[in-house]
Order: sequence, then structure tokens, then C-alpha cells
Amino acid sequence: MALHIACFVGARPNFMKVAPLLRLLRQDRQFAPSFVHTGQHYDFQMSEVFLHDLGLPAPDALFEVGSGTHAAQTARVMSATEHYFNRFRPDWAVVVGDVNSTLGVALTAARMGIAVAHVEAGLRSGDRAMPEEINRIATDHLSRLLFLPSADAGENLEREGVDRSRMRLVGNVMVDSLFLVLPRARKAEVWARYQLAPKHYCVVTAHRPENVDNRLHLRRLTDILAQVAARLPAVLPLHPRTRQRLEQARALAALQEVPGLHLTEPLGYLDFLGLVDGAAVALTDSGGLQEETTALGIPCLTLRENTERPITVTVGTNTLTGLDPLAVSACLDQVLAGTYKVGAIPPLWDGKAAERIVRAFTE
Amino acid sequence: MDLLALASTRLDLLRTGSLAAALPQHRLRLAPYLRERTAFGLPDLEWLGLAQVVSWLIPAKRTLAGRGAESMTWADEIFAASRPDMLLLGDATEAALPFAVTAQKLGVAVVCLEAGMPTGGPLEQERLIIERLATFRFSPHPGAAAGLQEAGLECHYQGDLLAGCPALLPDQVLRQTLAVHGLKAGRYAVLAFDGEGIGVPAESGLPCVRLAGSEGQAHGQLPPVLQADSLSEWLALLAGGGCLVSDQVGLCRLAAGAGLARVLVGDPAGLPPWYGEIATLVPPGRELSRVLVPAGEQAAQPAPAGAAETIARMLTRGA
Repeated sequence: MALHIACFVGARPNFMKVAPLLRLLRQDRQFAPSFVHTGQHYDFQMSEVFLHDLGLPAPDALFEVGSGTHAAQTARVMSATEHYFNRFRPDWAVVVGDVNSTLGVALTAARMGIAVAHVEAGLRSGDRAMPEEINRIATDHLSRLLFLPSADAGENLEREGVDRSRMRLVGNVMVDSLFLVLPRARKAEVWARYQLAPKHYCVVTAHRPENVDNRLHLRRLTDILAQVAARLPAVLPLHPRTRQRLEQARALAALQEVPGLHLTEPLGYLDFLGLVDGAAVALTDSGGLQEETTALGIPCLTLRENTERPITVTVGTNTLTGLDPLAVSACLDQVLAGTYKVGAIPPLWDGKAAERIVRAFTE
Repeated sequence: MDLLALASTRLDLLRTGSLAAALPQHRLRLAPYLRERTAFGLPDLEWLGLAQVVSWLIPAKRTLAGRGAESMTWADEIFAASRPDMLLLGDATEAALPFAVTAQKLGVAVVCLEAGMPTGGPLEQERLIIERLATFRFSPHPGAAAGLQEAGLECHYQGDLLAGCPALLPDQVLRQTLAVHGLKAGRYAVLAFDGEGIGVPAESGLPCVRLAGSEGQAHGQLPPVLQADSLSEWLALLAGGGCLVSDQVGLCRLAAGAGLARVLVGDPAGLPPWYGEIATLVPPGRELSRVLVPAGEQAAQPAPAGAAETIARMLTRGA
């Protein structure tokens, strides 16, 4: 009998991690996969476009849990997941990343005796103030199988007393999606929409609460954006949270007037990847972009004090600058002078991570 | 300092009570997560110094997973309404992890009062996560603390809160309770268990009583359950005995504080070896008449006095 593997997504960064896995599972008769969307990110631009770009099918189930506080959202995911498990009882629940849906599904599955597999396990920023860090720790310890994107993740888990037998070093599954979509993304020449020349602009993303919820930090962020845009045209797809905070701080209008800075709506995966691929440098506080830039060999300045993806710094193209304008400026000098470090692609970030995951389910 | 204690068991309530007594100038409120409001004779909350219940949590959902979601929603509401500085967690019950996760995400410090104490129950995995997430960890035994330190977790051993609880019991309550039930202090054996395989001592030479909350399966002729109208009466029935036979290490620790001899029924292979310092370990189903010893012959667990005061002081400093 085919193994029923239920793959869950909740937020936008989850989609590119599930897409390659789901594709392979659907091609193999040993598996009867299902695709469940908790609806944590329910906005059309955020969900539907990503599904389309990644060639994902329509979800078999959509919970529509919507937004709310961390706990309220997690609780709604748990209730809906229990209902789903009562009806379909999968052999495995596959969760990815570190969002509230990840934890909600894992906790429910563990309590119902359903095996949990965590893709992108073992990442740690060491910063307990990040809600995602709490989700990572709890989900990893609830999971029976832990799929690691890099060796350092395994070391983190070992330090927490997790048995090696539960871990599988498979590489970065998001890179599978990236390699698959990249030719189409390049062909789209997204940079031309903003009258930009390839390798002569930067891409910026910022949405983390510590950067946009705190007025002082938000001000530092906008100062940095102005400083960067004065030297290199910049494109900033505005996350809804960031837009809202800028509006509340009455800073959006001023930012729209910054010369060289293009503010856009959130982009689909294909468009965003094309934009990043053509950029000279990326500034970000997101986790996924740190990995994508390392895979593409594009300099990345991370506007945070820490990262749960240290391999992007030690091996890849990433540098932690925090919201320090001097650090950002110094790195930008190097990028523009062509002296910024040349990173390498970490081991097993080869587009075959999903294959290794599927193999692990048959072992 | 504003503290919130989640309490789901009698032992949770007793632990919280001993801390409340040691923190008179701070606010310690209680969120009882119980099947019903009168589950443990809670009217004597005042005796515990816990008159203020921030919210009663009576689970309506029938499944473990459903109660997890329910607990997380409650945690969110409680923390939003009254943002405490710290959340105190004792036994790893079904509401504990949802509360710990919610607290951590809101920046509320999580204090684990039973760190490093394996339960062997269905929520063991969640207990380990709570320990991992906790801001402050206190172990009731040096063996438990050492285990956590080996795992890279900072942990304090300052004595056992439970062992200090019998001392909080007013003498009058003890005397009255024993009189009502026709018992003589130190002259009866107490049975308390919720698992399977406990053996009823046949030739102990002491009358046996069964404590409320003992719903497990046993071998031999079981004595009737002695109902307690309140938590203090329940504690009095335990503390007044001469020896305890139980499958719960927490009760053995409570009994150690009252000077009872203790037998812990459980598979020694599945228990930490240092449990043997708390009670005599006996495998399930074993004839118990020979292992029961009169009170006083078994050394009480060597625990520093004033655990509650020391922990309270450390928490105050930590805040």
C-alpha cells in the first residue's frame, strides 16, 4: 500500500521547499502524497502566484486559518489539522521551515501519534526573541525524521541531545526549486520593468518585527535604504507588514520620494528570483534570500545581528551587517569595487535534496 | 514581580503554594488547568497563599490534540490580559507546552520547576521541549540537574520544593484529618498509584489506606480509597502515614519530606538510577511485604532546607 505523506505549507517561504518534494512524490507509486495549505498567508499575491510559479497543484485541503497572534494562529492550525488527521490519517506529516503552521501541525501530529518529518531542520539563530526560533526548537524535537540543509544544522541538534539516527543530511531543498525555475526567471528580464540594467541595482527585502516594528530601527532602515539608493538603484518589494509600519510611522511617502528607490508590491516567486539573479547585491532580513543569494553567487548583506543560516556567511556570499550604516556602506564599497568576497555553493545544495528526502522515506 | 503558575496536578498546586509562601511581597497568581473546579478540593487555595486565580481552565475538548489547541488559545488570552514576568511550570501536563511556547514568544520568562525529571508518560517528548525552551531550570534532585548539565542546559539544584510542602501543613489539619478517618500518625501504609502492576502489601503489619487519585490496577485486595475534601486533607492523609507505596516519584518526594519510608514501583531499567536515592525501587508486581520498612529506617532524601526560599530569591534576582 502506498505511503500517505501529507505535505503542509502555511506561508510563502514554505512553498518552494515543498514544491520539489511534492513533484517527486507524485511521480512515485510507492507514495500517495497530499498537499495541505493551512492558509497562514492567504493573500492571493502571496499564495496563489507562488503556487502557479512553482507548478504546485491546487491544495487538497485549505484551512484558511488567516492571521492573528502567534498563539491564536497556531491554535487554529492545530484545530484544523486535527480535523484533517481524523479524516485522512496520513503515515507521515511533512512540515517545512519555521512558521507557526510548522509548529501547529507538528504538535498536533505528535499528539495523535502521526510521524513528523521536518524539512530544514536544525537551523538555530540562538536568538530566543525570534518567534521562529521557538518554532524551530519545538518542531525539531517533535519530529521523527529531521532533514538537514547543511552539516552545521546536525551539530546544533546534537548539542540539543537529538539522536543522529533521526537526522538525514539532504541539502537545501529550496535550491532545488531555484534551479528549476531559474531559466524561466532569467528569460523574463524582470529588471527591465524598472528601467534597470542587470548587475547595476540592488534588491531589498525587510519585514522582520525587530526591524520594522521598532520606530527607531525602522528609521535606521529607511536611512540605510536612502544611503544605498544614492549609490545604486534599489528595488524594494514591500511586505504588507512593512508597508503598514511605514504608514503608521508616516514614513512611506518620504520613502517613495527617495531617488533611485523603486517600491513595488510583493512579487511572485519567478519575478522575484529573476530580479535577485540580475542584481549586483541584495539587502535583506529574510532567511530564504540569504540562501538564494549564496546559491546564485550574489553578494548579500543581512540586516540582522544573527542568522540561523551561518553557512551562507562562512561558505556563501552573506555578511551580517545589522542596521549599521557604516557596515552596509563598507560592504557596498567592496561590491562596487569588485572586491567583495566570492562565496562558494555549500555541499549538497545541488538541486537534488528532494531526491534524497524521497529516498529517506523508502529506507 | 508578577508570576503566573500553571497548575494541573495536586503536586503542581503544592509546589506553587510553597513558592507563594516564600514570595510574600510579590504577586503569584494561579491558572488551574483541571477537569473540574473542585477536582482537588481547591477551596483551600487560601491556605496555599494562592487566593487569586487568574483564570479557570476547564478543558472542553475530548482529544489530546484538541486540548493542545484549546490550551494555546487560553495561554494567549491570559498573557494578553495580564502580562506576567514569569510563567511557573511544574509537571509536564497537556497544557504545559502550549503555555511555554506562547510565553516564550511573548518574552515571558519560563521557569521549569521539575527539570530533568523523566515521567515516562505520553508527554515525555513535550517535557523535554519545555526544558529546552525554559529560561530558568530548577531540578529537585542533583541527579536530574547533572543530567541536564551534561546535555548543555544550565540548571540549578536548590532542594526539592515538594519535600518542603508537608512542613506547610498546619498541625491542626493533620490531627483532625487523621481523627476523622480513625488513623494513627505513622501507623498506616499509604498506597497511591495511577499505573499498573503495583502490589498490595499483604504482611506489612500496618493497616493500608488508598489515597484519592489512585485509579491504577493493582494485585491483591485493595483497601478503599480515602476521599479528601481538600488538598490539605489529602496531604495530611499522605504525610500522616508510616510508609508509602507508589508508582509516582513526586509522591515519594513529598513523603520523604514528611519522613515516611518509601517504595517506588517501576521498572528500574526505565528509571534513572538516582531514583533509588528517593525511594526503594521495586519492579511492578513484586510481593511487597518484605520491602516495606517502618518509618525512620529509610533515610530521607538529603535535601537542603528552604528550597522554596532559595528558589524564590533566585527568581527575584533573575527578574
